[in-house]
Amino acid sequence: MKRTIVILAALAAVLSASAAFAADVMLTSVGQSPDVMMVRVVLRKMKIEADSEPLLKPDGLGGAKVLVAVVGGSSKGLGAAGIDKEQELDRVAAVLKTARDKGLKVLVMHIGGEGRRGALSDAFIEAATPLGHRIIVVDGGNDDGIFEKSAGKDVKILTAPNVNGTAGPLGETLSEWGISAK
Amino acid sequence: MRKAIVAIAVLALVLAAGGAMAEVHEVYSKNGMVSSAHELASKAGVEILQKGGNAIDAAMATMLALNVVEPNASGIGGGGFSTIRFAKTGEVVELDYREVAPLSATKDMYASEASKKARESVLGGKAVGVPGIVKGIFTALEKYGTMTFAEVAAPAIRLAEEGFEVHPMQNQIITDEFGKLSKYSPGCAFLPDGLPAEAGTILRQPALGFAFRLLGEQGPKVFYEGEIGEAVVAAVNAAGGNMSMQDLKNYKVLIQKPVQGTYRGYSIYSTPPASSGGTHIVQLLNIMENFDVGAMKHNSPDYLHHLAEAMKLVFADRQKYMADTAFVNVPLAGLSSKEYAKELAGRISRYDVMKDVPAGDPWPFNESARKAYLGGGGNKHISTSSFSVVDAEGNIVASTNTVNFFFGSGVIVPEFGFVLNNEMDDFAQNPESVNAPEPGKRPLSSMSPTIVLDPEGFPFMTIGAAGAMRIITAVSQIIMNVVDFGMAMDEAIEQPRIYNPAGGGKAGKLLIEEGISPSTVDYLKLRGHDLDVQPFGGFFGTAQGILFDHVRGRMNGGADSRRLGVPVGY
Repeated sequence: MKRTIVILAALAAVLSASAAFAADVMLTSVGQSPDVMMVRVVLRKMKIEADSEPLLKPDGLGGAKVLVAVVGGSSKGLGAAGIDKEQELDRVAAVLKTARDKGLKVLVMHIGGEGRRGALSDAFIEAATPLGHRIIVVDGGNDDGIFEKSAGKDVKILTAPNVNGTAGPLGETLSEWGISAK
Repeated sequence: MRKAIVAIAVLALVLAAGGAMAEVHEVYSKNGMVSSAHELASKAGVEILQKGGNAIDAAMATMLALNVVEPNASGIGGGGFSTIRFAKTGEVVELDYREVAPLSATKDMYASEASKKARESVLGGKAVGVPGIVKGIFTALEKYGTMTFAEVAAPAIRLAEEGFEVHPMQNQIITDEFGKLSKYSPGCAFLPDGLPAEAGTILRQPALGFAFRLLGEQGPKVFYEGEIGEAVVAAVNAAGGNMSMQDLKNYKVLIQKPVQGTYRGYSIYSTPPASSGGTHIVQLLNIMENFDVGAMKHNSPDYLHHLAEAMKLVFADRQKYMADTAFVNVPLAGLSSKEYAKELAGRISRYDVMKDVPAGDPWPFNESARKAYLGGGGNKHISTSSFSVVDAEGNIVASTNTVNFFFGSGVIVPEFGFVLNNEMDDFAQNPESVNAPEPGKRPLSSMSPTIVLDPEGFPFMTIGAAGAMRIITAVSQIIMNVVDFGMAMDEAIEQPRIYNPAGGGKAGKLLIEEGISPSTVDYLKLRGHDLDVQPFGGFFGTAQGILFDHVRGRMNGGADSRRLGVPVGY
């Protein structure tokens, strides 16, 4: 009887974990700024289902087909998450590498413009961008060409005039990768 | 704004103290001036002056306009302090419309680990103190003004209904606070279509304009006993708080004597408790008076060393003794006494850096009975808004107002579009602290709207700042920049600053703003200071002020480039 309960509990845990992250698109933060929440709003408006976990670990990728990594360093966000810059860099490297190894498409987004640049954010940009299959940058965030310098060979960098405007390149990219509105 | 700015002399001086640059824009006028953290708010105040209003009328107009164009920092969901000097009598009064804890407050309400983890003192309904600013405005107008609320609110209503252009800095602030805004107020005006208002777009706040119209028509009762109050209580409680209409009905404005001190013969008038600001500005200046500051080079290693050491002593005392004097016996006279400051100055060595910084003992310098106290610590957020107004008659208002953190608790009253404060976070979480929450108690503040008179008793300067505990250090440094180093108003404001806290008997890190010479930084390190250099910006406080030039018969305004500050004169 006891064994049955344990097995059922384990099954329930597995099912609830997979139910929690069931969408084709998974969002995570790179730097713990609130920008990841804004991308979720844009996706919602596009009627594209996405799961979001700012502190996503490699084993949380579930059955997602696309990982959207939203880059932006925030001391406040890191503090609230109880981690430091180095821990965040380690987490991001592990998640993005695992995603690529598992065959997921990785989309790196920087939506904060000029205001979301600086030493902290730049460290996250330089860590995440080389692992992206595609990059979307809001105007003002790439005036010095940091994304071209960091991106992999032949990786497309799309631009948008503002956060709302990312819906265009986001829709185009996700559609190419087989994700469409529900 | 018909030729409102009669005389603006823009001096684009570069502060070449080393490294970072800040442009200095001095503004001069003959008849009146408003210096606030937003040009449209300064213009709103000047509009009222030009219509015949006095400095008090203009200050209330500026305050309401700031609620519209800088809604993240201050507004009718918050509180503040105004220091007012009347030209005819020379009398100075302090208007305290600081928030109070609701009747449901208890000393241990934020003491549990669960409460700390959920950040209940910062986010949502439990963080909201009973707002005082509306009663403050009506009290000021009724006692000292010449216009009605509806008249002084007219520019703010226009700005709210017609809208204003969102500045990139404002977009950044909304973006930074997106998490709490989208959680507690997803339908608010600052998140059109669910996303932060973009720079360059027009932000309209008709609900806020409607609130101002209702206040103009029905008076403060609509806020404290009527429709607006009911909406406030509903919003607070829906977000997990426990406020009642009785809390609003009980709210009282305090009219107090300001804290008074002197610095090299100049008289300083500033805020008494529940703000610690005025007392500790006087204390810091009193300590520095024991050193020949004028003979030291500005922002030189010697000056900054003495200043940093003095700051530590002040903050050690602040933590131990300061709280709402309605609840706690505070040695105010001792803290602001010259003799006590001399004793503290004696603890500063030219060559040694204090690591252990126990609080001093001001009680022997105080006439009141002795008690032992344990105060709360400070925090590091950037917030609040300060402005100064002078009218043609010479009446002066220095006013500092806040909703505490930017966008306060994150709760915005949906029907009326104003931000509710998170002032409860200014209480200590430790229930043993003198600054622990209690029903009706005012949380400890650092706000310090300050008026300075010259040694002959004539108005010399009005100055105030935003920036939590850095208000104390910003205002003090600006006063020394003018008095000891002979700077003009904006020049004094734009200088890079330092901040050195202390608490729990230990020195905090010396924080140095970019712009101070790297060789000075190296020298301070060699001397033994544990320091960090931080970017030039709002962390070190954002100040607005007006300096009087009696020889030329004009006013000299300055406003901080660390914010969007602009002085406007006529």
